[in-house]
Amino acid sequence: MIPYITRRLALLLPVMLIVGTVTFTLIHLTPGDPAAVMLGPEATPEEVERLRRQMGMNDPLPLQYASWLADAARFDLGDSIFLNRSVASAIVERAAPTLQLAFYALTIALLVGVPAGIIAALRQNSPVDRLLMTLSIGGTAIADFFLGILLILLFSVTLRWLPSGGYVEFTVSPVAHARSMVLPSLALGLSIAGLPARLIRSTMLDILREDYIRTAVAKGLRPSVVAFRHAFRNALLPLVTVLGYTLGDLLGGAVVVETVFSLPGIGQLVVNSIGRRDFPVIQGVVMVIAVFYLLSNLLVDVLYVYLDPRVRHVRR
Amino acid sequence: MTYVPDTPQCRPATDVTPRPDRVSRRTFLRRALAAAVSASALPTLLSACGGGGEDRSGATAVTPRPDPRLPHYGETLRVALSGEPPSLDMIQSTDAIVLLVTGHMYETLFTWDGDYLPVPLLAESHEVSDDGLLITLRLRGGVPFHNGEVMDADDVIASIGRWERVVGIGELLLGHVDAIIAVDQHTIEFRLNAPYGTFAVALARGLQGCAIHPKSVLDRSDDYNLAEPIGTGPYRFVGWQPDRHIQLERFAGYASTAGDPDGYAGRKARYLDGIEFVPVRNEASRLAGLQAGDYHYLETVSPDHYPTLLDDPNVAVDLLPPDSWLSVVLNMRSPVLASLDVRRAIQLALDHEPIMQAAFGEGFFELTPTLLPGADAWHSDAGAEHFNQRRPDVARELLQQSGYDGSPLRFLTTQEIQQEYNGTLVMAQQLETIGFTVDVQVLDGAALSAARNDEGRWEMYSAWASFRPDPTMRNITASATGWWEDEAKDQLLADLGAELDFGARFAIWEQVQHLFYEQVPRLKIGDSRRILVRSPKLRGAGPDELQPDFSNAWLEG
Repeated sequence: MIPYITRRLALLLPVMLIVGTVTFTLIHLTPGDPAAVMLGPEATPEEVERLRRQMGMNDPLPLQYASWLADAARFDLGDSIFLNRSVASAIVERAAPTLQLAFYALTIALLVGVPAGIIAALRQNSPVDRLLMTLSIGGTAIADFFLGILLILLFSVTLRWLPSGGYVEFTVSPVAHARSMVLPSLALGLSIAGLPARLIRSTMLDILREDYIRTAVAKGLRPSVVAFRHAFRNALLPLVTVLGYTLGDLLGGAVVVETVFSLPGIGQLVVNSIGRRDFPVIQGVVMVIAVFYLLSNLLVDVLYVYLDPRVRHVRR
Repeated sequence: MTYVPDTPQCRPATDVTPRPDRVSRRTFLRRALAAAVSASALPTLLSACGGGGEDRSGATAVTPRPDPRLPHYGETLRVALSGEPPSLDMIQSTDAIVLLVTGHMYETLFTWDGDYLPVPLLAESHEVSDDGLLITLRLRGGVPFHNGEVMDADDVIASIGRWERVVGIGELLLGHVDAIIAVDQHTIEFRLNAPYGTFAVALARGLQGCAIHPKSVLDRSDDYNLAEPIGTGPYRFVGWQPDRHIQLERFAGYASTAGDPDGYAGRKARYLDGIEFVPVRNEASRLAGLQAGDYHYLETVSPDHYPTLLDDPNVAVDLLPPDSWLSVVLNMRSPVLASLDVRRAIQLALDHEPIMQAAFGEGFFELTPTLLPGADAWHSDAGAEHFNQRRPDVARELLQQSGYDGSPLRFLTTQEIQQEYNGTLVMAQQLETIGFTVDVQVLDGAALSAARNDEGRWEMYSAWASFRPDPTMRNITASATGWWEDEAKDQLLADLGAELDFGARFAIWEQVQHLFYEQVPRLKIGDSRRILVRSPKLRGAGPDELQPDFSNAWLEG
């Protein structure tokens, strides 16, 4: 197992080089430059040109690429043009809201989606099944920003129970933190809850038709034991795969939800940096997101080994 | 001759823009508001200044008021911004958000009164010699910076020097200056090579205004990076967490000018403990946040929201008089638009009303030819005969005579400003009707900002002309965008900058405006009325045209 993980980690290096090179090329091919953004809509071409020179943006692209590559090799992602700090510290600052949002939203999605999927499978074709699946399709179909706005209108504007946006660190005030994260977590969690619900339902239905389930029932096991100990545990495998990819998505930043709730996470950072052409930040964030994806995929593969004895046996 | 800053009726002979005799509706409303604020603030001020005239407004121990509607100290104002300022260095950006935030942290030598006439702020007075070649600037004494240093001539000279190297208008001013000499700690002489009548205008509050910083800070800064956000303003910088907030707190040591609040001038009471600027990019979220009581002030919102907001008791809505305009810049270096006939055909073809309807909706625009809406003293109808002619038949004929070969007009616009985009679509349709081929190219804001500096990249682009109290401020008529290069125009602008007498300046400006409509370097489509949305609790906010001033604002209740 260790050599397998080591080999996968070693593969990170060439992948990151490719990702970095492609990103560098793309962002420099995109029209627009940070000098014009910095100076605003009424700046003169002369003012923009002066600032471009000052920023070193008139250097030839290969030179800029070589400079970036040399820094990246030393794990130095450079400094943001606008944020007055290094790219690494900007990413670290934004990681907490994004990680917390991802964790809370996934928790909500699992707490809502998994029981819904199990109940729907056990009550296949009943009105309960149809209701749950309609809700899960609705949850998947509704745009998370729309759900977010609806939640704000209900809980912030009408009831005035929760803030409409913003972020408070857990360490500053756990209560204020919880209040600031409830609505975005609900908006994101409910919009992805349909995925585990439908996945668990369909997998459970397949498994419930398996011979070993029939055997378990024939042995006289209680229905709950059959459902949870024999069927549900096996239905978890595809869920782990899907959750791995979802986690990668969420760690890359739930861009829209972060924008609606003004959460200063990775998603906002990357979108705003693209808008103002903060090249070092775009480059750095894309690299970090790529690492997240690769590591979450690796984690899923490793988890598979532990969750599925068949995989373990094949490997042996 | 010198003049006292707090008595604007005592103006020097050198004052370039005398107060107009006519009192406009805007002026009347402003004065009424200022009078109301002054009257209601009087008891507070008496208690705040009770200690032998000592300013104690920085102290927190203020007797609670029985009536919470009266001005009182305390609370933090939360302002929802539509984006993040690209910098907290005032001179670096023409982005209005930068002025909105930094206008509370930094001050300029001059500012604007309620009639948009320049009056001293950090300056105490300025005298111009009879030949116009020597300007003596006297600074107010005892003005502390946020870091405890006290402002003197060296700080001002260092700040002007840095501003001049970065900002075009500074370069223009310093082009007239042979030497700047610190006569003593509070007196500076500007020795000019030619008269410069707009000295106070150039050094007044505005986009990329010349903020005064301590020399010790500038010594550690370069032209594009300010080492510390230190100024003399009524609020001082506490912290900036990008995409979260910028926090300012009341500067207890602030040296306020005296006199009733008048425009951006006069006393700054600093009732608020602090101001927090929160970037909230989504407009629906900003509005919901205001309705929920999370924010107290929003930047302008789109007209679509106006009818529903009027019925909301949690929101106060003001529809402002026109102060900025939608325009189309024409590239005079483009092979197609180098022809005056083609530019005139565009001018003749457009029907401005449906364009403004699409952009802003009924009730949110006006059609006037003046290039300085909101600056009442500069209102002029010069060139009105060329404005909004709506003669597509004549345009079609002129276009045929011009030899236009059907080359596409590359018309750049952005959906980030929906009004510009909507207006552009109608304009494109109107131009195609008379025979133009129009290639509308939609770019994001950053790409548009970069593309417009490339003369080979476009023929037209939609643009915004923001409020200007004086025609010499920035580039409506300069060659900066669109490359309007005309000797007569350049000479008129030079005369406009040099002339001291307002009447003479106005006459020159009318000629410039006439040329603007004659030579068609840019099309003025119409004036927009901005919608200002705030919490009903927010009272006493200052004027808005050059970004709001919360120095005398307080929160009720």
